Amino acid sequence: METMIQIRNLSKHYGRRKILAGISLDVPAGSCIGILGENGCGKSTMLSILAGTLQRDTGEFLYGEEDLFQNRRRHARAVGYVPQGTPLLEELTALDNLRLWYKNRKQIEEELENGVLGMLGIQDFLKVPVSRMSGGMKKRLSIGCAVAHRPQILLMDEPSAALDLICKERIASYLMEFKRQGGIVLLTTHDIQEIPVCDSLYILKKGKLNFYEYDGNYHHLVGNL
Amino acid sequence: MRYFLLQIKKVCKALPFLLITTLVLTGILGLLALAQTREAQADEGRQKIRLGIVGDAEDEFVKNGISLLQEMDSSRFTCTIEQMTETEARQELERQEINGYLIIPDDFVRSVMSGENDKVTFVTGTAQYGLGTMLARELADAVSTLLTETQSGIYAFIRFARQEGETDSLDEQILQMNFRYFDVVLPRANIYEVDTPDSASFLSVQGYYFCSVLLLFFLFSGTASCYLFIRREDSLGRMLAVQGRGALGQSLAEYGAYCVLTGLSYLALSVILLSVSAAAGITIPELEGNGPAGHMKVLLAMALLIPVVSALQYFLSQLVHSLASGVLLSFCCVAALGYLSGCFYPLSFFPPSIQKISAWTPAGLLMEYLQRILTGDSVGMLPVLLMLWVLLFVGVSVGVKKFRLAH
Repeated sequence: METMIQIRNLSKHYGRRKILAGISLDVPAGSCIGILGENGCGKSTMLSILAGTLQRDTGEFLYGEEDLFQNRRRHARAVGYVPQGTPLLEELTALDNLRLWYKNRKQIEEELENGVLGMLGIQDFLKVPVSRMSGGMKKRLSIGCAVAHRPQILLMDEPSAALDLICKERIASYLMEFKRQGGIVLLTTHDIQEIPVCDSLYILKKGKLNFYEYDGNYHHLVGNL
Repeated sequence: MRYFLLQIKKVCKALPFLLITTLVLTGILGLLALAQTREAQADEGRQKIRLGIVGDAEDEFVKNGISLLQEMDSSRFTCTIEQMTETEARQELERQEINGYLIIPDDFVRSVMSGENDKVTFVTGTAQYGLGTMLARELADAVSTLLTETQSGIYAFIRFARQEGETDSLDEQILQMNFRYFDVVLPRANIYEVDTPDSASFLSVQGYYFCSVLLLFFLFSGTASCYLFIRREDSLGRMLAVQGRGALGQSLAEYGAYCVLTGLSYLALSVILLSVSAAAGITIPELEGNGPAGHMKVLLAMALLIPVVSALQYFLSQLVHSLASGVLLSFCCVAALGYLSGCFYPLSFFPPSIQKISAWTPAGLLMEYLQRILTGDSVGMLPVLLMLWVLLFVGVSVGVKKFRLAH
């Protein structure tokens, strides 16, 4: 399988504390990488740097031959980012929030009918204000907003935290479809139910990213965190 | 642009609630101001110092003296003077119904005329010792000085009359001269003029309250609306930044929407103020005779407060993460700025150092600007200084957002 993105020597420190110590990773097209680790180990920091919202100390984020860190426009087109919180306008409806990210009403309708928005089930709560939505609705809407520009790389920070099983299943189905279409997913998680979606798992520990071969033994996995 | 339009939609949805909240708040302030104005106009007597005069009720000099004090320009605006017996005066002082009383000894004027120095006694209780007591002491001093200074004139007249051999009915003539002096000369003495600190020199009381209520409305409306722009977390900002809408673009869109919100509130308030004042027959002397076009011109000029107040409130909302701390911060800042700018008390009540600081605060500058617009004075550099505050607030807000997005 052809390598599609390459992360090279990514490092970051806060004061004297080294959060990321020269991380390198190759991710092939159509695959999902799961990043695990203790709270505060630097998972969100890593995704924030890759998303471009946080400055790195060193490192490259190669997409094909191009370093996305050096080309903001290309980066914006290629990357979709779903942060940990709720990236939505709480006072407005789902439809209003979609309008912020989609080009026009027609595109939203098409996506609701045959695309990602339909797959995420957003048509069920299109006119509900965000402030009245459940956590699952908000997360699905967040993903729907993040992929409006059809990115090739999707960065998701704990996408299924505190969601019910049906919602998790919906998101997992969407991610499988995203991969099938050649997209790349990098997600951080604490949830074992997300592991089946991932093609490979990595554990972030003391600033280093280590490959982990999951053998189905949960206790063994916890022991390695 | 889409983010800006959605922000406008967001604030428009909140507008009715915000208007009701701030109108209730400002309505209370306005009613207080109205009551204060009406009271100041219609019941000025209640503000006066009440003094008793104890003296021989049959004495023409005492009667004329009281009449003089009641009519004299220098005392009639500040004091109510009533003749009473010493027992009555003491009882009223104990009940704190009078600020003090003057005891004029029998034949006081005659004793003065004959060169003896009988003294007027001013009696006050310790509970009344304050501004009123000080004024009453000054008044007693003034009366005694007026009379004793007149003494030299009377002696000069007597000496002159005797030198000229005019001794027939001299005592009667002196008496008549004193009466004439009391009746005609002293009441015309304009020792001081009545002034109200700040507002009276430039503004009517109604004009002062109009400016302060208008400013307070917009300052406090920010406390009600700050929730719209307080971000408990920065996920949306981060997602927008990933798509190339950085801190500057986000801040400008949000600040622009805040300006729209303040502008709509201003529009609504202007209509309400003009309608209510017309219906209730309340007039602002500075606006009298201007007509609706003149009113609109003044309100349009005052609209400079929209970008300034919006920038201040937006800046405050960017400093906090939670609604509770946002409301608290906004309320404390707004109350402090309103106090310092002279919204609650005219600035001249404050020490000079505080007045200097106030003159550079955004609310202080706004108050000055509103008052000058109302009186038609030149606003000078005030709009420039206010716009510098806007730039500072928005600039720091962009910096804060940038910092938050990166951490």
